[in-house]
Amino acid sequence: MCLAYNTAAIELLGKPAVMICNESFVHDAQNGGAKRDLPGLRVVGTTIPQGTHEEAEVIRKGVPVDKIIAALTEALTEEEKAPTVKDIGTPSRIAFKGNIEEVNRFFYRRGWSGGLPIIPPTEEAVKEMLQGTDLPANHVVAKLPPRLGNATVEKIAVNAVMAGALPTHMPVLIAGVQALADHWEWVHVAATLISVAPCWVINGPIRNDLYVDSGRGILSSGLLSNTVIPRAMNLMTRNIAGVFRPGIDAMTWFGHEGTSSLCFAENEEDSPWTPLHVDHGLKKEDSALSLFFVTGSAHVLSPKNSFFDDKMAIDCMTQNVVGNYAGGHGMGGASCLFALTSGSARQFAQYGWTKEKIMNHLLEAGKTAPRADWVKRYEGTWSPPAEGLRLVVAGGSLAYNTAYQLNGGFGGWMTKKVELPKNWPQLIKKYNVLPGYDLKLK
Amino acid sequence: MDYEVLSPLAEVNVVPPRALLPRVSDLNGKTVGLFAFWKWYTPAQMRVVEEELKKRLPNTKFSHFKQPGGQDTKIADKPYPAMNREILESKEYTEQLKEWLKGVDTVVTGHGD
Repeated sequence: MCLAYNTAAIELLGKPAVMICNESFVHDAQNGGAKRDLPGLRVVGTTIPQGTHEEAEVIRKGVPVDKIIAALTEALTEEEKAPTVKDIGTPSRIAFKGNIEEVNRFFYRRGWSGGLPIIPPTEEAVKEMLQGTDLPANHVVAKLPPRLGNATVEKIAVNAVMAGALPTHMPVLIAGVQALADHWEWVHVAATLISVAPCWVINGPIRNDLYVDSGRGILSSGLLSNTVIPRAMNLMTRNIAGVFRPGIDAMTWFGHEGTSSLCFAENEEDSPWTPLHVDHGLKKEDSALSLFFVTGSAHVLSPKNSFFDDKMAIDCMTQNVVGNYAGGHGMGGASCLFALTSGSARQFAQYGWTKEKIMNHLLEAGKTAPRADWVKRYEGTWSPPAEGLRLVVAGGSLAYNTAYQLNGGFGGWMTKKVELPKNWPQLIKKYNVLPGYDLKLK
Repeated sequence: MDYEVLSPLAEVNVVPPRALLPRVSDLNGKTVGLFAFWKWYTPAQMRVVEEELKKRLPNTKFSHFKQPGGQDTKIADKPYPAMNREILESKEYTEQLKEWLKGVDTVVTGHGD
């Protein structure tokens, strides 16, 4: 996608250009040209096997030289000389009328829902959702690439209704759109072959207002906020950013199980350290959303897990951070998040481990850990994950040698302050999202 | 019960699409610019493109340009946020590209992934 943008830029700068890429990327490249006002961008597909390295003879067999010459020299077609607008850009505001099954089928067939049932976004439901912000409905929060759809407050609200969100989720979703738009790797994530999912971490007072789970079972608790925030964001990546068609605008080979489910809060009250959003320059009393992109995840368990041993715990984390580093996701600074239980974090603190000391240890020890040999092959190539390594406290209170690691990649973190509407106290009183059954959040 | 539902699909600002620039009619005697994306086998791919074009067009000249980033660029030292960014976001990079484009007649950009 990015090279398509740059090829369009070369035409803008006055030279005729042709792009060559693997045939599986041709649609993506043409979409990229269209997004930069050059729908006729000539793209030649190669049949070079993906994963090829420097093997000239393998490459030679896959490069269609005659097609490249033709693309460079053949006279323009009438359509290329005077391209017409194919994406009218202005969908009807009212999409459909029907019963709940018909609405769901209509949305699914257009790729608007992702398969799970949706709440019908009626005028009334969207109007109610708009209570969650002081911004006007037609305010454009951001343009989300690659489709560059206008993320108006109303469109955010429509997708929020579909996901089952409440008006009190709107401030977080607006911040989520801002984070996605400003994260410098989002376009790459949308176009990558790798399995990547956005992960949303919530900090500040809004965690407690919305009961965003920061305790036991954070990744599968089933609490409303942990579920609907990532689902609404996923619907917006489909319906606003335009990323959902496998092989056309969603290029990942395997996809990712967390695409619409990775969201949790930090347990700031029980943490001995500064919370994530404060590390990112905001005030503790601010509410915030942080975004990074996750590839894989692992529960880091030591061989002896039934008591806390700071050296054993840090060794286990070290082995895993090297795995992340060696995984090659060093683009712009690999990101890696360790979630520590509040018990483990407090134990670490009692043994004199500050957050900085843990992170420095992970970075330094990681260079000489067993898997570091693999890393050395690329020394000077991949950046160490210093820019992206983070610790948060979440996931219950037990003090075992345990942590949860979310391996990242694709360029680090983006944090946005969550702006609350004036009627926030009334809203959180009206929309109580705490379940009625017994649960232990911390 | 029927529901009249709003579309979740965002509007897109439509700007008049650009026409492609006229092609060169013949590559003989021309200079082909080979612009390599930073990824994986792109540089090798562009060398092969040059070799194969030379076989067919011995009077054609070539000039290479590589987008910074990737395996031969230290990320910490990268001069531009260019690995997955647009050229036009960097004034300095855009100027380098403009300078290079002065010496070519047409361009092949390559993505090797």
